[in-house]
Amino acid sequence: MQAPQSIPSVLAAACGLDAAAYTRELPGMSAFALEDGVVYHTYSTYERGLDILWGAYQWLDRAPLGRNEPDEWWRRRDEYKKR
Amino acid sequence: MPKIKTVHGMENRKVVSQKEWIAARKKLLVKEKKFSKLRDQLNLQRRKLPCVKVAKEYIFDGPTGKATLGDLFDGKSQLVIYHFMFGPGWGEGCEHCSFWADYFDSVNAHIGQRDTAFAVISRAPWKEIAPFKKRMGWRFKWVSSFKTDFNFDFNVSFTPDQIKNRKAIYNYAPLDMDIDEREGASAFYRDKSGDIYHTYSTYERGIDLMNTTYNFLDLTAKGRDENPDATQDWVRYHDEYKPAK
Repeated sequence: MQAPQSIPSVLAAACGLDAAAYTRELPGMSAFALEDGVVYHTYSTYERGLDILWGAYQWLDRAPLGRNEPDEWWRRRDEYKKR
Repeated sequence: MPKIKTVHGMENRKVVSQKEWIAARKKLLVKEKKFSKLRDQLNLQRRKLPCVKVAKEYIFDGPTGKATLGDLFDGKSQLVIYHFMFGPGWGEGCEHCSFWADYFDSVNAHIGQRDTAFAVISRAPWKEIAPFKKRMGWRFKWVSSFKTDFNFDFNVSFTPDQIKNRKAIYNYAPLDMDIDEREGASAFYRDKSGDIYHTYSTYERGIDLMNTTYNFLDLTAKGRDENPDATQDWVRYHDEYKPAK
């Protein structure tokens, strides 16, 4: 039996990278404001700070089993196998 | 609509050094993390709610003819429903529900992978829904509960008698406005024998988190920046916004 792969290694493989290369890039979100020609950085968030921006989670949280995530299940939407 | 305080513009914001900003941001991060953990706890408590067996058979009308509530599961064990305000004879669906519905197709691309089906239900007859759905370009499953008790049983449609006698219940309390349709979301579970259970419903601001525009705007400098006396007075059907200046 194979040892379960870590989330970074699975996601890295999906991008054709090794885990070390993959984890050099991580997600985030930033907000800026423009006033009188000057740009201000007003906000940045990372990791679970992005949780709320993922529409599917907001719905799964209301379903009887919730997010129901025993493993990393998400794919690019054109990569899900047809059931 | 509840009054949500928003900051108009940048006038109350202090401009500080990067070092000072990081210190202030880290202080807020502690609160944000607390919120995430509280939300996890709330989600857990929601999953521990009891459920009610759906005893009635509802027959909906849709693009492929008649469909039962069981059919809407599409072979999955979970079903989430958006109760879309679109009464018989309205001609168009609710503008605000449309604001929410603009995200449904992207949500639907993923939740099916978690054993969960998604559908929208309105009381208008299917022949009234179909042209509006086409105009909006939406692909999600939308069915009509016309001539069924479904919308009344789930407290999103109200009879003239209920409204007149102040007997309508919405969001688990007496409805305080003269309106015959309201918005909401419900969740159902179907076991292996095909029995269906109602596990959850939410209304009013309970659907706030399902609006991705708001979730993004909440992270910007101005926030939602809405008129506190008429939130969402800026919302239009997506084909009616004028191009930005």
